[in-house]
Amino acid sequence: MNLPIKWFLISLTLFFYLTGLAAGLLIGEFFSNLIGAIAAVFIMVIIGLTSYLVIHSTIINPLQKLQNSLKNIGEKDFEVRLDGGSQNEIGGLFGAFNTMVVDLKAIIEKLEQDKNLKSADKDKFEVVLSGISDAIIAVDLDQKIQIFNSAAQNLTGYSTEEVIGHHIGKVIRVFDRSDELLPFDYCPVNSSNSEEGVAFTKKDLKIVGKNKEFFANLVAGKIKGGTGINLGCILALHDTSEEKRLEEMKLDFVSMAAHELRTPLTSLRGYLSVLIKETKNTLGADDTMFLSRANISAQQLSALIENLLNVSRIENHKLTINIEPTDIRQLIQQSVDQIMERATEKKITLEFKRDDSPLPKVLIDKIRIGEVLGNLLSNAIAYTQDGGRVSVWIERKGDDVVTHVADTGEGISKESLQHLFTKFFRISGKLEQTTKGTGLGLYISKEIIQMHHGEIWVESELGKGSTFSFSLPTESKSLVLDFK
Amino acid sequence: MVKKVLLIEDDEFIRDLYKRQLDICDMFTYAFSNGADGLKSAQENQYDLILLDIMLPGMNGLDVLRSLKQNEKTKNIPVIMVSNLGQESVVKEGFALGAIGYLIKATFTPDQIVQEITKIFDQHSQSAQPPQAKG
Repeated sequence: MNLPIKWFLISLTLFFYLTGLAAGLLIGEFFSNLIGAIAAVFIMVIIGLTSYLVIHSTIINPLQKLQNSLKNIGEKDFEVRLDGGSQNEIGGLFGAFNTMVVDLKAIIEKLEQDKNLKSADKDKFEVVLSGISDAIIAVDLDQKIQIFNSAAQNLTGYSTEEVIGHHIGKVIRVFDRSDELLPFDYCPVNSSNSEEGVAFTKKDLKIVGKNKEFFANLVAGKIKGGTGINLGCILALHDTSEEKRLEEMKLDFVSMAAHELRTPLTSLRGYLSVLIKETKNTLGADDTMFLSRANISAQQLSALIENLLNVSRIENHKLTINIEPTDIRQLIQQSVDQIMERATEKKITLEFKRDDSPLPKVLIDKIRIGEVLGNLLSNAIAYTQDGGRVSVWIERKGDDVVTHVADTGEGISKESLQHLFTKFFRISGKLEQTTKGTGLGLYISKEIIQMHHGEIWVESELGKGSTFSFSLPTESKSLVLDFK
Repeated sequence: MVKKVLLIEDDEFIRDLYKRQLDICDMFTYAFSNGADGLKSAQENQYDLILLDIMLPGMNGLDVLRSLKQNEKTKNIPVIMVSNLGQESVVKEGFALGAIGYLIKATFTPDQIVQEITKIFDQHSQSAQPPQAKG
């Protein structure tokens, strides 16, 4: 029991005791004898005792109850209630106490619930993170690592404990081929909160971790409102090492297969060309046609193989060009001569309108530009009805030489024009059913022309035909260009 | 003047085609189907030009080229690589070893191949500098 309360009770008892004593003395005075004195003492004791009992049962007991109950509450027992149903202040106190306990219990329960929910959310979040097979790394506004999931641990060889709080640039190094990318590039943090979303994305990056390296596609996103929770950027790394290995196997296979396909085709075309030349004046019209058709087919097959090979090279960044100063007229003439048979077969007039004005040489890879010409001419013939016309001409435009290939075919719709140079795109229309093609030629042509720092474009009107054009830089301009 | 040409090519048909075409164009051609026989013939004869396939059984074209360039008697004979293996690394190595040209067979008909060969050969003869002393 608290000391002040004890002293208060002791002084109260003393007060009653003294009151009893005073009363006994008054009575003793009145009787003026021994009996009177004894009676006075007796009354005094009775009063003192009674007052003590009264005080104990009305104040001390309830206070002790209150104290015990408070102790229970301290031990998180909220079932405790006080009953002392009297109408006095103590009864009121008990009522208030009971109400308080009920309220307290409700509040505590609510808090517990919230805490459980939050911890369940956190568990869920961690389970989700570790369940993701991509590495997830989140950094704060100083690019220090805050989150590092288990896939990130597996891929980099670091444990979460080793990297938390460390700068991302000290943990992983990122290479795009031979160039090293810095955290500034691939992991931009959001300082202004003005923009969010994907801030960086790149495929096939080499990531170097702790004595470990792997290839991955990287997607980085700035975190909106990240300043509040001190998160700046989140990185997702998708391991592509296995894909890369398969890709290389595929590339080796394609290269091998192309070689194997080219060899018999080379002799097939070789013997056909010799046969055509040697029998020019001795065979009948039908036999000449048969030979010519066999030759056309062999040529088409050959072009198809080259296109497939080129797509594979483009996709794997293996397409290279060996440039040399070239007379474009001579190259066009060769391409036109080569495809003349096919034009004749369809009764299409194919002509190269050449003039002999002086023309600077262009710096090109003859084989690749020959493929572009082959693709454009072959398309022009394929999409032009029998009896139509295909014309080729060149013009100088500043430091460029522009080559045009125009046909009198059915033309290309506006919707198709915008997709024309994308991979596998084929024009839909009445010719679609009858015209062969892989939808690769224009895609490849565009890639090749761009490697030469040139441009390729098309102008077309439905019903009137199309004109495909490409520009190539001349020798003088090529000096300042960087051919890779 | 008739040029004496050594052709090393394993594919029988292509060997035959090229030999015919080269012979028509006044080039006297000896053709072999493998590197070892080709190298032996290069030692025994005085060739003006060597046409060398890359994918050969046993010793490959680059090995043959290396041997040719290491041998005093054959090191100055111009070599043109003729292959269907358009791999950048192989082409680069071929040039580094001293080849003067590279032709992809599939891109040319036999008469075009002969034209190209003649062109490369003529360019090389015109620009050929006296062999530099190597230290």
